[in-house]
Amino acid sequence: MVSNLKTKTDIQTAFFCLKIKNYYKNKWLLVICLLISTQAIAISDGNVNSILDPNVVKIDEAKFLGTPLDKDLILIDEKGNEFTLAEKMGKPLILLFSYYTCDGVCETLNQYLAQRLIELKESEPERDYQALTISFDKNDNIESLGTFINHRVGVPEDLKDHWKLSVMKNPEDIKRLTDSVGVRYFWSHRDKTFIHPNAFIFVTPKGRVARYLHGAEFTVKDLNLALIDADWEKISRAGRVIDILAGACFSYNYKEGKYTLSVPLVVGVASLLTGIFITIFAFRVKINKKKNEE
Amino acid sequence: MMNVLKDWIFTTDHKKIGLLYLIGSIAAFALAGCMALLMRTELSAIGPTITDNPGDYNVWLYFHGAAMILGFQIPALTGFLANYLIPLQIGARDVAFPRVNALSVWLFYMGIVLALMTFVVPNPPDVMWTGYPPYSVLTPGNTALYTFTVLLLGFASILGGVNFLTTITFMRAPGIGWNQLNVFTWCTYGAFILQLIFVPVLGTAVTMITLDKYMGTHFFDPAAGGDVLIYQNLFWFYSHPAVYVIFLPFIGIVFDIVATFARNRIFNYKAAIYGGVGGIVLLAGEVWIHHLYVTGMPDWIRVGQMITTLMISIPVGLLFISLVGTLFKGSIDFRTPMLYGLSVIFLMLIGGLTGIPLAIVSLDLHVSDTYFIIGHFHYVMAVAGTFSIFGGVYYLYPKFTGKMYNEAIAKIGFWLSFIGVNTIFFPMMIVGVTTGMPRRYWDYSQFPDAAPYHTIMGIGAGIIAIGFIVILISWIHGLFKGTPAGDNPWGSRSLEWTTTSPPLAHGNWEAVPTIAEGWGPYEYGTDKA
Amino acid sequence: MHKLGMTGLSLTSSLFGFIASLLPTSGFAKDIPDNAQGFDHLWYEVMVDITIIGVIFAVILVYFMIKYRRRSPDQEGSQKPMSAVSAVGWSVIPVFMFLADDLYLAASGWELYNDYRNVPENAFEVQMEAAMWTWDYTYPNGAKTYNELRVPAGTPVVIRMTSRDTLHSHYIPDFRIKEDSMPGRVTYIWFYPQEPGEHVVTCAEYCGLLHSKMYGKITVMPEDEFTAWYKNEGENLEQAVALN
Repeated sequence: MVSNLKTKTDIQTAFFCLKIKNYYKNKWLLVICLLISTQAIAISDGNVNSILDPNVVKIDEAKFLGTPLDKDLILIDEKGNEFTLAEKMGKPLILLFSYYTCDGVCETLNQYLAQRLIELKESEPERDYQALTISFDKNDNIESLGTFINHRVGVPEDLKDHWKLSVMKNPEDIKRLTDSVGVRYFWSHRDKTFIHPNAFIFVTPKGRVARYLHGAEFTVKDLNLALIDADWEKISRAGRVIDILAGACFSYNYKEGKYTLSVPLVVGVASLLTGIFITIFAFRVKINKKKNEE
Repeated sequence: MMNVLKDWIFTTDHKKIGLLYLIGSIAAFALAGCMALLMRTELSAIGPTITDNPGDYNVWLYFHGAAMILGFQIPALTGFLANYLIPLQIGARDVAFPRVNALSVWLFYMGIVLALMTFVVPNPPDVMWTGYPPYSVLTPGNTALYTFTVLLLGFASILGGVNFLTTITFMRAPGIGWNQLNVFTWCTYGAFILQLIFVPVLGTAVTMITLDKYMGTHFFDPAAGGDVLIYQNLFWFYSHPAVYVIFLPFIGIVFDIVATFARNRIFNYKAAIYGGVGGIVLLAGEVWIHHLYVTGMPDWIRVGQMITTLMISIPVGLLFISLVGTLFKGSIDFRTPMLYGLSVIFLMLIGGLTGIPLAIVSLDLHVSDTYFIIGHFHYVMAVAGTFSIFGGVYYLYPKFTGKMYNEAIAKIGFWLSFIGVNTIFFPMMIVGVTTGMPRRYWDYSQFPDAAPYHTIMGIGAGIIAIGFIVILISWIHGLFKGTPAGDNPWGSRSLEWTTTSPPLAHGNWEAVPTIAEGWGPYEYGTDKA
Repeated sequence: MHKLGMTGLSLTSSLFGFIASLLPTSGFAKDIPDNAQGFDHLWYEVMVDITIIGVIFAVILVYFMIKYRRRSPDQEGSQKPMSAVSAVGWSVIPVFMFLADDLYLAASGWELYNDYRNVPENAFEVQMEAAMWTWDYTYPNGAKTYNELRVPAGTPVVIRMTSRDTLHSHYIPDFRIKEDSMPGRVTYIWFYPQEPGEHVVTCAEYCGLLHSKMYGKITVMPEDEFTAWYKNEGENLEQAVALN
């Protein structure tokens, strides 16, 4: 299916669709997406099959939630320091797969992550999370990583210790890691581009997949809720209790790919308040004492 | 004849309404008991016994659970006993809102009729009394019937709750202070506070499953942003307090029975009321997670609620000490109501203490959802509750009929039931913890070791059935052959025994009873009558 | 006074136990705990505890019933109203005794619970998807089994669970462990099979018509036998993929 892609436009359109489908749920955006794709078809040879099905790299979330990561994998950061995945455990981890010669999406996603993390005030990097970008391209090395950081992304000063971009020391391990979390990708020879899912993977302190957020459109609130989700088993610190309680009011919506208000809970709380109200009412009704004394 | 019927249907007299509750709930008990007999027969041996369709079994089980709790225990305790006793115990001429009272008994009967539809509709509900989604949404069974039964009975409860809280708060006869109330009145007061606060939560929870099933909403559908666990949380947020809605009135009536037949004051009354009843009301809403110990709730909630759950033993312990202490230096007469009252203490000991391992989360990982649980809650809630209801009926029998039942028949009925329940429910706990056989099983070929126990339980079920028939006979026999009982056959000092037997239809007393200085319902051994 | 002293003693000791169990223990190298044994031990302890309480109450009750039975029709009880001091004493002392027992039980319960929840590092992980009315297991190498989980003896096994349709509960009575599996959520249990043998696994959460027939077995195999089987399954799978 992928090999049927004819032109660069096709790829970009497909990519755009993929992005749109994951990012926006608004109908009109989908319409635009569709319009553009039809144009793209018109430009190419008109073969409908040549459009990339966005689902081809879609992650089957239900299947991969809870999967443990292999903690012995060795990674290398831009200075050449080696570290294992195990060293990144102990706090919720935001994991992102990219490749560093990418022109566009990867850059955007990494920048987006940096931006949101700076805006995120409810969680602090010292205590509540860390982030890690790993390249899935076996041709990436320290040089391409350095270029990517210096010229394309730029790690904010505050996040330097808490967000690492890295490459895998042993390229054979890459596929094992990506397979274990459901991330699939293709190299399109014709277009010199990787087709890959734009997923942020939230990992529990013990190294299991807790949540996926897709694309560069999640809000700071979603980010914080996903971090709470990843750290749900234990209360890491007292100040987190309120966050956790607030987090309980939202539940992850698999259909929309974001956190939505948990209606049953709100209704339940409302009905509890009704009950309390009725009880108070029962104590406050004025009754006709005379009737009793008749 | 028509006039009598009309008189009963449209009555606003709390005593008649109480008796209507009694008739309806005993009917529900009998029917739900038949379901239990069918189930025990089915399980008495491995393999299909009387039905080869597990669906039949599931429907029996659904009806048994729902009818016993919602149709029998709650109405009998907070409907019959509360209606009949409370205005008499506080010296009121009726409840605060007699017509609302009539409406709630009608709603109760409609709920019973709706529950009976189970046997008529083509796809009867098979969701158990808990109705957990997603099964209650996926099932071909008629979940709506379950929802509306719960809603009707719940609404009846809310009306009853408002009525009785107001009655107890405002309509006590002049001179009756808060510390001169019967323990039963206090317990019912606590039970209705719980009922009022928590019933709306149950109502919305069951409404949401019906919306999910029939209206296409996705409250509990994880694929569309819902959450399967929220229902269980909401459900137990009501249904654990509901256990205390049953427990409080029944321990209350046992207090009254024990005090009357030991002719003794309540041991440490204030500790029992403010520590026991008050403690239970305060803790009731903070322990529901122990029903969700094995559902993957976060560890910190499970451990936190393990501690609150264990702490329930403190108020219950205070009530127990009071109850046992009431016998101290007493004058114990072993009439039938007292036999029921004392047996409840023993049953509660077994049932209450076996609740302790269940409160410990690590032990619950093995015994949760097994026969051990069934044994435990039948002791603590089902049997103890039923025995105190029966004890209450015998206790009040001379009051509401004016006649005395036959003591010999009544005692035979008691002993048969007492032996029967222990033959069923003690082996259940052993099966649960030794073989680990889970509950709600139509067959158990994977647990061959459990078979002999189930045979014993089957025999126990038969004994109970005979016992219940004897009890019914004693009640009916007393109606026709009973000797006149007199106004106060037990020599009680409580206010309800100062009326005639049966009490006057309107107003209970000729005039509002005058309360002497220093009067109390349990002031035995003094001259202050 | 003696009673008070006892209460204080048991209260403080249980408080210490409670606090001690709060402290992290991960710093020490620990053997893999056997939770089934831990369960049996704690269960026995709790049974002794509740039996003592039950017997004390029952003996007092029976003694009162015999001693204070009514001797003449007009006899009334002769309990005197309580003085304020003894009323407070009879409330506070029992409260602390029950509280002490509760905290003691909570502490020992929690200790075992930590063992139940902390999966050993070297555990062998199997994925399980429950459905009406089967258990579907997927091994790390992709091998699949239905209603039979084969595991090697001597290795702790962790099962990661989810459900396709409704609630189920993966219950292995012999290993004293169960946990629900649900759609949309992930839960896990672990157990430690030490000897080869067969164990029943059965559904403990009501799941409809064939709830009682939803059972399978856990086959604990000698390690080499398991390895051979596991390898073979993996190779079969690779061949099947290659053929496709």
